[in-house]
Amino acid sequence: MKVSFLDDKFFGRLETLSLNLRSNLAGYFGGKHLVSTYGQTVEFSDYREYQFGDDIRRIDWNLYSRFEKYFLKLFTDERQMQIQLFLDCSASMGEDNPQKAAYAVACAAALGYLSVHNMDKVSLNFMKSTGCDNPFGTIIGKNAYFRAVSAMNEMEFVEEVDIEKCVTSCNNTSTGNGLSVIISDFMTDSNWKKAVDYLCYKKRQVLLMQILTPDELDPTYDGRVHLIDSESVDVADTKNMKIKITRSMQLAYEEALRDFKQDIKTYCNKRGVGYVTIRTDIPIERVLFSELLNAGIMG
Amino acid sequence: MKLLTPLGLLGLISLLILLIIYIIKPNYQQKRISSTFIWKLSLRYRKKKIPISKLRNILIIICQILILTSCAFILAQPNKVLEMPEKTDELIIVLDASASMRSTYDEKTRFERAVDSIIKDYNGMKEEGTMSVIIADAAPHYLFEGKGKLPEDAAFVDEKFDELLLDEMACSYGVSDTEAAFKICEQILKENPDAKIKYYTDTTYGVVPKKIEVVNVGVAKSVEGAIGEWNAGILNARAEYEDNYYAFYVEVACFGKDAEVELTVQIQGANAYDASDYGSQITVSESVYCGQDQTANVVFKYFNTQEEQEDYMAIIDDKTTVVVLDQSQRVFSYQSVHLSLAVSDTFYEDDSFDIYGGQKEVMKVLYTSTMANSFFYGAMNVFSSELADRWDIQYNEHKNEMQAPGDPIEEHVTEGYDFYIYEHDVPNKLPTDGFILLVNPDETPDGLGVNFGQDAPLGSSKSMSALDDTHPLLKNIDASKITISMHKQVLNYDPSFTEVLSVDGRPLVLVKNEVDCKIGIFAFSLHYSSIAIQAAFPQLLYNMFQFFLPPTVERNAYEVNETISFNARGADLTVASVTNIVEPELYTEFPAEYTATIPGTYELFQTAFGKSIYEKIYVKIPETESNIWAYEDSLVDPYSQQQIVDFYDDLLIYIAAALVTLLFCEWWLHLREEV
Repeated sequence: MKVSFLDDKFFGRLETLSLNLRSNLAGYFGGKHLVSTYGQTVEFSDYREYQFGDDIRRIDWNLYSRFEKYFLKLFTDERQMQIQLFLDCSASMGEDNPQKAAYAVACAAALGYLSVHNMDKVSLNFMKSTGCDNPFGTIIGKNAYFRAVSAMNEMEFVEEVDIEKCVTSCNNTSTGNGLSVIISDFMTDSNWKKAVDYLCYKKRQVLLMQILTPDELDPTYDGRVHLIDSESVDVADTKNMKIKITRSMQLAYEEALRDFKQDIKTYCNKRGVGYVTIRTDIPIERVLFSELLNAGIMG
Repeated sequence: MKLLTPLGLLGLISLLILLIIYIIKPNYQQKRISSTFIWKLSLRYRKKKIPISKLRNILIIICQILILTSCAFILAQPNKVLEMPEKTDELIIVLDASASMRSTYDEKTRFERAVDSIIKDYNGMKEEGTMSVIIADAAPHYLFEGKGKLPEDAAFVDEKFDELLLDEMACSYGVSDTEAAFKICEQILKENPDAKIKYYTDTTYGVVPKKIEVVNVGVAKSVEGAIGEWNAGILNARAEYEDNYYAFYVEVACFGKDAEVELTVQIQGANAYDASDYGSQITVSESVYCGQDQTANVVFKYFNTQEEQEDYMAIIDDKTTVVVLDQSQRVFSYQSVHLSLAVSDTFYEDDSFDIYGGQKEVMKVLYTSTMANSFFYGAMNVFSSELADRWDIQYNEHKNEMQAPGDPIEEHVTEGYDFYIYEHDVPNKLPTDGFILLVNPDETPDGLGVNFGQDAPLGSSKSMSALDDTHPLLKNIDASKITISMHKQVLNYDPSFTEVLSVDGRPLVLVKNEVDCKIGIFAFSLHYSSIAIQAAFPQLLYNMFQFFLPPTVERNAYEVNETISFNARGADLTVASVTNIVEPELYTEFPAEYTATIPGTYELFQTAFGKSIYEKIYVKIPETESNIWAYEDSLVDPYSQQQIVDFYDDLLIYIAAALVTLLFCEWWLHLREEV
């Protein structure tokens, strides 16, 4: 059964929020994001002494009357950013767990809405197998965005995904002009770190959103279990495994999960990449207004 | 080791079942999850298992295998085979010591032949064997117990065997208590269930328990002219007082062969009028034919008329022979009747029989009254017929009419009677040679021990009441139906008196029953009481006879070992055998009991009111002992009781079954838990 959080009420709550991006991004002209370069906006930024070639119209004559020196008045610049959303469409994200898929889609939709709401460009990249599917192209404006959102609800989560290949093969990744968000559970054998490194190389702000279900965080089953991976082809697939889950095994699982998350976190910290873990058993509103706010990605 | 039930090892098949269950049971349940990524990572974090934890994993199956194997072996009942310890042979001899074992053939009794056989058994016994001999008489007992062939035992046993052969009383004259004898055997069988029992007897048993060997010591019956043991005997005899003359009834029987026997009746002291008259001797003989193992009845009887004789002949059966006595042979009293059989059988103890009790005791009754009435005479007439076979009651009435003033006072009669009844007028000195009844005495005799007052009217008729309803004087009398309107006050009385009847708590009838003083007192006049016109009056007088002058014995013939109960009118009573086989015994407390172990005539002697009283009884062997070829359906089995006591059922099999059930329950629960 399909689960969806995408309705008018959901988007209505996002009206008051905006994306909080780094100021060292270049971006394009015409956006709403303040950047560290000086521009032609009305927001005062600084003074500097006049140099030859400067536009004399920008000399502050009030300061000249006081100091008898020529100073120019500088203003901040506002740019338009490109927001890249990479959504993991592998089976592990929702083939058997509609709630997890709905959470992933909702997070992507929320970030996309905030982008178009702030006059940014959005590209929705659905990672499938070894490539990215970008059916809507670059989305600008809410009208185009809502058309894309209605299609997102019908999306299918199948097979396994190679995050590295998907991200690196994405051909619309510009350099230093926006935010790239990877939404996945990162439970994959592919080297997703290379994908992150690639994005960092492209001087993009990167955010990793890890979606985990309660069953993944704290498995409730035990005894002799034949675990069938949702991404496996058949029962004999090597992804599947037979295991006797005992108390010691559960403790080992907890430890492995903790180390796995810590590894991502450490890796992200080293590269200034944002990292958020989202549990699907908490309300989506709390995810947006608490978890993402705390991560500093929203403001 | 030996398996008693090798098929129990089939239980090992359960091991196979166990393994199959482990193989086919769904070990892993499929669970579809998003990703096994973390689980695969966690394998690296799993603690390395040490061997003991591996062992712990297979501990359950090891335990299950061990339990199943143990259960299979329990079912197979493994036993260690040990050499059976050699048991000592133990022989229990039960020797029938009943009277029939006295049957003598070839100058040896059956009992002696049995003892000879037992001696042979003892001599033929193994060195390590033991023997116990139980004498089965009326009170079975050990002759000796568990004696072997050691020198000291052998001497003791020889001595006991000699005693058996020499002691005339070793074989009893009564019946044997076989059940009690085998009860004693059970005590030995409790300790040694394999002990053998050998029973020496003359009784033939239809069903004999397997482990008991019955040795019949009787010599074969007489057939086709061959000589064997047989017996013709008088089983019972009695004298009946019919139409003023005695008739004698005799039961004769033959066992072992058919025979015609000569029965002789010798009547001693026939038709004597009193003790001083010796009477005459009458002898009558009759030849009686007895079929084998059948009883013939012979009746010696005098008939007053021909019609009476014909009527009697018409009603008797064909087993009864009637010997008609003529006038010279009729008997109205006798001292003794000796019955004898002239036969040469092998069992002598029942060839003769004596009947006593043919002479009635004279009871002289004196009634003295100043206001004589006929109540006493009437009452005496009523019960004299009841006591006719025991008492010859001679009633004398002495009317001591009221004297006119100046007339000489008539002397009271105070001796020469057995029963004195004084009404109103009583002598100053009471008689000492008989029992006295004082009725409404005008005066108090010397030394009576009772003080009388004035006549006390009660106003209206009141019912008498009894202090003790069970008092012998009140037998068959309902005191509440007797009314009285006036009585004589009894101011006080000696403790030797017993109050029997009273009205309003005041004594009316007192009795004193001592050896030399037997007194009854009616403290009321018959004219002021309803007793004289009721049946209670003769009953009361009859009870007084029985109370003060009780019969010494109930009957004149008893069986050996039967308990004889005595009463006495005097202070003591002596029982002695006329043949002096047993020592005389003196009794001073009554009722007394005596058990005769030897058949024959016994004399009972006592003194009452200065008179010597002799009575005789006859003790015969039990009727059943005359049958020297007795047959019983079955013999008691002392082994059966032993088997019940020592039978144990092995419950290990049930425990094993329970264990297997529990094991499968555990598997089932385990499977459920995993699901």
